[in-house]
Amino acid sequence: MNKELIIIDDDDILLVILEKMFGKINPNLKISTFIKGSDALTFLKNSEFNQPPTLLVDLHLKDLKDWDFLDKLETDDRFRSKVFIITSSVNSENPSKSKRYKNVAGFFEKPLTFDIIQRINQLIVESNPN
Amino acid sequence: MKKDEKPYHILVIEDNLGDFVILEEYLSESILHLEATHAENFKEAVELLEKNERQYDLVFLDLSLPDKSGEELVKEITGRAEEIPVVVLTGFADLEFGSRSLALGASDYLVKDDLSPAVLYKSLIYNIQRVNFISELKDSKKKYADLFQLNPSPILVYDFETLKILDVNEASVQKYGYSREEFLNMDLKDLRPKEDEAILISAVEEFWKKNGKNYKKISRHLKKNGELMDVERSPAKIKINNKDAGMVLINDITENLKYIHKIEEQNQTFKEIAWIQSHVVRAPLARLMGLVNLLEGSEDNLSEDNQKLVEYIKLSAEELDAIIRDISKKSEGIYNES
Repeated sequence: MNKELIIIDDDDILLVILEKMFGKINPNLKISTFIKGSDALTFLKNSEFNQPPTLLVDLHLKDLKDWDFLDKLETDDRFRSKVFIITSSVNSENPSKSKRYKNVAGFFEKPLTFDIIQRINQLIVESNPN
Repeated sequence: MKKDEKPYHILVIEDNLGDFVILEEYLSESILHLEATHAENFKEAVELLEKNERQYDLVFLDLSLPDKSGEELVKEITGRAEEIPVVVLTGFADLEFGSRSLALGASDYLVKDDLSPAVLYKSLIYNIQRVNFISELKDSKKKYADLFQLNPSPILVYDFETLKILDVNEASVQKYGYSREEFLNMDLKDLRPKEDEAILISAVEEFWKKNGKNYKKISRHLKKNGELMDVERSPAKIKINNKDAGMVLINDITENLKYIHKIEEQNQTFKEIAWIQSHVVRAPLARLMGLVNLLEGSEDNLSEDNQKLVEYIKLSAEELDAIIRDISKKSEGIYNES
């Protein structure tokens, strides 16, 4: 069964880059992209998934600043997705702060290299349908 | 009896030569080096006092002189003698006036008929000492008055019950713009903006209740011209005429606070710049680096030349990235300190 990945970033060019890179590494991955965090949340709410999709989320979304997206995600029990945070910010406080969220599985600074994409893909592929 | 060896110089104002001689003799019994100058009338006495060639240790004054007597005489002489003690000599008939002369400035009075060497000597020593004490007391009083009056910080003294201002120093007049007379018709509330009145009342209560050790508070005070200033108050408790009074030392910190606010504002701007560096500037750079990654991983074979170019773009981007990280790190250090 194809795994699903949802990428949320307000930088549309970056969405294209990431989509292409993941596509290169794993052509079977089903990828959806969102510029707005709220759109992504609506999508998650209204869709049926065989297993929770993995999320790749930019930390500073235009509509949901800072940790708002994660806060919203955590308050809803239906969302049991694994989350990888990506950020272009080089603020050293962020990685430790992200550990407060139980569904956060990783924290990466942009740019994501093929090595990192490979690692994330590995985690997605190995994840149990649960 | 051993004689007093200290030299004394006295002025005796006495129209009766006999009385003068007796007085001089009596004193000489106790004093080894006595110099007694004799003035026979008021006019002569005034001349001698005004010439002021020699400092007299004490003046003996007979109450009735041919050219002046009584109350006026005592006033005139004590006025001119200034720091010199004046001992009035009176007859039995004037006994009552003798005590009144003390109020006019005389240091002591002796009844002529009771004079004895011992009484005279005791009065001389006692009154010289007494004047010395008084002048020391005056000096120290002046010293404390100066500490208050000439203090560069404004000092306000107020009545605890009514909050009325009882005294202010020169610095208060300069700082607030009110004259001393205006101050004395005001109370502490007049120095505060209307809306701060409740703060004042509770601050005064708190200070008096808590005994106010190391009590320092910042508040707003109004100047006469309506200008507000931020002041730090250091109050102390004192007694004035047996009533509780507060003495407040005022430190105008308006400029200091302005300065601090300015620095805080600048710091805020600085933080914003740091944030822009760490996030906003880096976002397009991260994108650029992502694009280079994509180009490098492309299956389409780039020409060797173009590969080199992609390599150069990558190097430049990484260099820029290092610079941004460096700025970001430095500003983070300041973040944490502030």
